[in-house]
Parts: sequence; C-alpha cells; structure tokens
Amino acid sequence: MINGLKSLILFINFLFCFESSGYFESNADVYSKRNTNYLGYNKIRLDFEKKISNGIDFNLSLIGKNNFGLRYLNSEDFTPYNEKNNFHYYDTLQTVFFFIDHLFFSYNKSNFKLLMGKQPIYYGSGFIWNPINKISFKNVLDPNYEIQGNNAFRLHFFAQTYDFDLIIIPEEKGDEISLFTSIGSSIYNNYLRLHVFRYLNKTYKDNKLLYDLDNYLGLTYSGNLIFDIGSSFEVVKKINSKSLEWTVSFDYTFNYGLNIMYERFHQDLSYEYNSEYPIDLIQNYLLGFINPIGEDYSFFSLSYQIDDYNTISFQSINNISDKSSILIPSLYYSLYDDVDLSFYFYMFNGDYTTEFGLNDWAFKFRVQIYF
Amino acid sequence: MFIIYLFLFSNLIFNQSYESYSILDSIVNKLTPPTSKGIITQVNTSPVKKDRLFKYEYFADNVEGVQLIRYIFPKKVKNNSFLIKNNGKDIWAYFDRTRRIRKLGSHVSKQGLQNSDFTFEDLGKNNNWLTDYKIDLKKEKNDFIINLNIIDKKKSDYDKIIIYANVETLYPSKISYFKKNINEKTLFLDNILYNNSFLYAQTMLMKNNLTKTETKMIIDEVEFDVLFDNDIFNENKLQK
Repeated sequence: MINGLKSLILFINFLFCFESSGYFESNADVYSKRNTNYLGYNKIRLDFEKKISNGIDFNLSLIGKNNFGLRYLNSEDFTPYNEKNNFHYYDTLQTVFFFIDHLFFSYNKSNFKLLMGKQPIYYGSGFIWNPINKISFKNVLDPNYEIQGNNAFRLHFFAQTYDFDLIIIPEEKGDEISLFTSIGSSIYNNYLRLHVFRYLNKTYKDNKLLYDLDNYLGLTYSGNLIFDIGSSFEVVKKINSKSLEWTVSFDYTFNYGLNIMYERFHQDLSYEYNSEYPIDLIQNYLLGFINPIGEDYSFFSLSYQIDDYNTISFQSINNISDKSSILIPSLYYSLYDDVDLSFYFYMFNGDYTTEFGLNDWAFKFRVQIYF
Repeated sequence: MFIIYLFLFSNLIFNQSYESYSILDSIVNKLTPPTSKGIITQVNTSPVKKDRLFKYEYFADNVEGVQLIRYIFPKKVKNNSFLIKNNGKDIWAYFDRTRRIRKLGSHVSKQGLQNSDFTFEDLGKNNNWLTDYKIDLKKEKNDFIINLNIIDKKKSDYDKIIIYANVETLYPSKISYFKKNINEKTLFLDNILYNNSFLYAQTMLMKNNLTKTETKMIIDEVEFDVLFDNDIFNENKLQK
C-alpha cells in the first residue's frame, strides 16, 4: 500500500515537471437500424512535453476512456452484412481503459530532425483519403480527428529548396520492416513530393494470414492549378502490379466565408461488388488491412462559418462501388474559448449489404473541453 | 520654345511621380521592417457577439516575404501555426491537436486570420501597392494623403486604397480600403512608438464598415533586426 502510494507520488512528480495540456471529451451516438441503440464514451487526453536539453524534446500522451451504453457489438453493427456466408463476428468494448498514445523523443541538430518512439505520423495531400499513407488511416466520417501514434524511427533532413524524409516502421511479424522515403519541394506556389517505399502488406485469405513485401512509387501534389482553387492529388503505383490508387481534391473559400470541397478516391481491391462484399474482403476490413472497403468514393462538403462561434456544414460521402451514401448535416458551436459542442446527423442511404446502408439514421453529440 | 516647356513639364511630372513612388516605398518599408518578432494580442469584436481574444507569436522576414504565426491562446488553438510565404500567396497550416500540416489554397489569402478583419494578405509586405496601383500624392497639413487606384483590377482585391501618413515620420495613421468605390474597411494605427530606430504602431484597429465587426491587434512585445534560424520558415518544421 505504502509502496503503491510512493510510486503514485513519484509518478505525479514526474508528470508535473512537464509542460502539460490536453482535453476532456464526451461523445454520445444514437443510431437506428431495426432498433434504436445508443453508445458513447468519456475520454481524457493528457499531453506532456519536456525540453531535456537544447534540441532534445520528450513527449508523452496518455489517453483514458470509458465506454457507456451498447458495448456488445456484432459484425452487422459496423460491417456490411454478408447473407450468403451468414458471417458473424462479435466484439466487446471495454468499460474503462488507458493507453499510451505517444511516447517519443525528438532531436534537432542543424538541418536534421530525428524522432524515435511511438509518434504521430501524418502525410499526404488528400483531406479524407491518403493512399500514399499506409501507416495511419483517417476515420472517413471524422477525418479531422486525431489518429493513434505509431512506433517508428523517423529522420528528416531539411535543405534550402527541398526536404528528405525517412520512416522505418517495425512490423508485428518481427522479421521485417516497412521503409518509407520521400523528397519534397515547392515550385512556384505548388508543392510536389515523390515517394518511394517498401511496405509489408497483410492479407487474410482462406483462413490464412499472408504477408507480401511490396514496393511502391508515389507522387503527391498540392497547390493551385487554376485560378485560386486549391487542388491536390496523390497517386500510388505498386511496382510489378496493375494496382493503382489515387485521390484528387479541389476546394475553394468564397469571400463571404462559404467553403466548398470535392474529393474523389480510387483503389484497386481486385473484386467486383455483386449484391454483397466477399467474405475475405470483410475480414480484411475488420482486421484493418484495407481501408476503406470500397474501390471508388467521392466526397462533397459545403461549410459556412457564420461567425466566430458557429459553423454549419453539409457533407456527403458516396461509395460509388456499392451505390450507398451518407448525408451529414452538422453544427459546430464554440460555447466558450475552450469549450466546443458539435452536433451531427447522419442520413444513410443503401441496404444492409452496403457500406453506408448499415443504419437508417444516426445522431452524434460531442463536447470537448481543452485545458 | 515649345520643346523647352515640354521638357520642363515632363521633368516636373516625372519628379512628382518619382517623389510619390519613393514616399510610398518608404511607407511600405516602415509598415513592414526587414525582420521582426513579437507577441500580439488579437481581439475580434462584433456588434452582436461577445469579444473573442487570441494571442500569438509572430515572426516576419519581409526581405524573403515570409511570416510565421504561432498561437499561444486560447488553449484550444495553442501551437496551431500558419506559415505565409510569397507575400500571402502560399499558406501552410499546422494543427497541433491532429499534428497535421496542410497546404491551403491561395483563395485562403483573402480570408480573415482566425475570423478577424485582417486577411492573410494584409499581414504581408504590400509591394503590390508600388506596382499594381496608380499613385496620387497630396499634402494636407501634417499628412501626406496617398490615393492608390488599381491599374489592372484582376491583380488585387481592392480597387482603391487611401493612405494617411505623417509628413515627418512617413508612418501611416489610417489606411482605407475600397471595393467598387465602397470603403469596405479602414485600418487605424495608434500609439506609434520607437524601438531602436524602428517605428511601429502598438495598436492596429481594422474596422469593417460592412459587417460592423472590428479586430484590434495589440503588440505586447516586439523585437526588430532579428537573426532567424535557417529553418524557422520551413513548412516541415511547423510541428513543434
């Protein structure tokens, strides 16, 4: 008991020597399928940063979460229904859990930056879909939300006109690594980045887990191709394969504050949607080996900032492959400087075998308090 | 005789236009000194909503045409940064909560910084005043009144700008921006102070005459002639 108390005091003392920030978030979802269900969570995120010496920083982020409401999910709640195979998969959401999201140090020396540990890794020019990024996937329904950190070694070199990035990811297979390299430069207000990488692809097929070490070549662009319209694209080609993935997006903000955005995404999954998704594809989707499940998507968004405190938006995501879609009207309200409220309504269109036909409608309420 | 008059007249015109140009050039340089850094408080005021307060660190290298803004208050936007290159044409945003760096389209340069009445373009060096406008200079009591009329309407958002600058210091006290002959917004520069040999307005108030909103920028700390690290204005180093 005393030892436990001592450890707690030491741990608190350890945390208090850091510069800290974070937020509390409470989220509730209600959705209607055959019945109306609700589920939600309360979450706290604590970010700590410590400058150890000139150029060396240490970062730690802790997340604590407790789930409430529906906690026993079956596959039909979050994956397209497969009638032919009568496929079922069950999952349980833990009531309370804690985890380390980030735990890394960075070392800056002249033109080099080195990062080591569990760290946030984001790159790519697309708003929702980043086929160039095989490391972290965004949530299609919430692309601005944070993504969990990844264990990696990263070395960044900055020159006057270009930068070079190297990321090494240890794979859970234990005898291979994924290796990502890229070089980027700005040319007349346009930014281009060339990517060459080797990635350990994981596939679940016929009750077996298969590994393939594949090489890729990619290019990302962001800038203004015509007039002042924001434009970006990503294209990735698997070498020695026909597989090609790409994203194209355009956005524009009018002088009176209306923002309009369109994004189109394509990936090759070597299947044809025929009234339902193949069982192997659903398995790979559940295991997180592919994301998203469809081959072709489009996204359209209209958002208008009414004032400092209120933003309304209408978003539509279409799975072109299975012809399902969601329309999401939302309201973002800033109650105080550090308190935000968000309201989302989801209108699903499609049958239960499609990606966005899982539910009839859903509603989300979220409050975020920053400290 | 006619040729002599023509010569004298053209010489007079040339001298006047040269004087106007050099005075405007001095004003532009005084408004945006070569390098500076500081802490600025931004207050957005609206007739129907309560005031909104932000605080940010500001780094500017106006020789290279780059500015970096890093928010320190409120906590919700702490460490969010904007890197403005090529005098507002090239904007990079960094969102600390999600650790994402994103290049914004140049249409954003016409938008207000954190919903303020200052656009990203307003923060940069206004070299286009010297090239895209016809300059007309008048002197009234202690002020130069400089009328700028756009030559090619496609080149700037404002078709007319009127600058009121002190005759002795050449530091402006008021700048009015016009669109389609409507005075859309006016910038008032107050509490003009010296820091070493540099003049600066401690308080800048931008009044939007259409929306009746106002944004006040108050300089809390400032330093001029700053030697920056090579990579401070690098988009890949926006992440702290």
